[in-house]
Amino acid sequence: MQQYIEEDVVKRLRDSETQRDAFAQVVAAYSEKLYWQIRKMVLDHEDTNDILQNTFLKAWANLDHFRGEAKLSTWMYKIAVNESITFLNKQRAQQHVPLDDTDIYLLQTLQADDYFDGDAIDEKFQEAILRLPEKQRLVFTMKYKDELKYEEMSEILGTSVGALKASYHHAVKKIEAFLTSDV
Amino acid sequence: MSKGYTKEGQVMEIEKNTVDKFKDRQPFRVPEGYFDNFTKELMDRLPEKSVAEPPKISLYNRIQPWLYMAAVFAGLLVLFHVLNYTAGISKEGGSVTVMTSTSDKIVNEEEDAEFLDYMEEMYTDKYAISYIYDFLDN
Repeated sequence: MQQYIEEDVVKRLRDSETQRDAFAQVVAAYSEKLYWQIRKMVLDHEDTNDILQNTFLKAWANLDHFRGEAKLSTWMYKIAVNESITFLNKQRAQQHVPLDDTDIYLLQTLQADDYFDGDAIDEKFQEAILRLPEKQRLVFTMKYKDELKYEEMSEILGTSVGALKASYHHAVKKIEAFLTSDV
Repeated sequence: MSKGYTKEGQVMEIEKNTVDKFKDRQPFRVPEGYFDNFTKELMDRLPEKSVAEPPKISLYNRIQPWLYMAAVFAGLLVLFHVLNYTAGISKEGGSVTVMTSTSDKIVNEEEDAEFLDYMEEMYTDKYAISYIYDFLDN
């Protein structure tokens, strides 16, 4: 497999002769990372697969709009996050979910997902995350397990590093409070 | 440490900083070979050229400029007819207001002719002339 060097890949993406080949490298390099980011938001594997494919198709259709000012990974994450949020908004509208800004309705999706092997405590942990307001849930899922640095998250979400740190800190407190409560 | 309960009623010892404890857990899985096959499957779906989709223009947006033009012409037509109708009433002599001010005189043509005849008579009638002089003297 070719070693992934972003500068080289971006250069080849701009050339119509090498564009397709370069894009295949991008897909191979980012599919797993983007998959887990999307999955943490929408929970279901099949939905995640659809959104991941749409993310790459959208990136391919809009390659001309990638100016190279930000990192390619930042650009890809932005598309993935937008696609996830669009999907959740559409799902909420279709299922007539009350507008309380949480995604607690997804707990049912989680329980029905064939690719969720967690036990009761894992389910409780996911429920705690689902009870966060959507933006805060996004911040938590992006940061949790040190997936992304705050600086990169700031570029993706358009929010200051300070605000992101505060949001993550509050999210952790809320989750811990829920897990230690008698529910 | 504090206690928490699962929905089955089992007591669990849950520590503070619980979130960190979950970092090593991975309850989500993917179908076997999913990531290995993903790139090929996606590239098979990829259209030939990287072309941005043209913006979809709805039928309404396409005919909107024509609708505006039609509305403008219809408005002008109505205005024209209204003005025409108003001017027509003043010519036909319906209920007419004869204004005495010299700048905004709306005078019925027939009455105008009568008035001119009367004035002519007045000026040629000696009795009328002496009446005018008497009036002026007083």
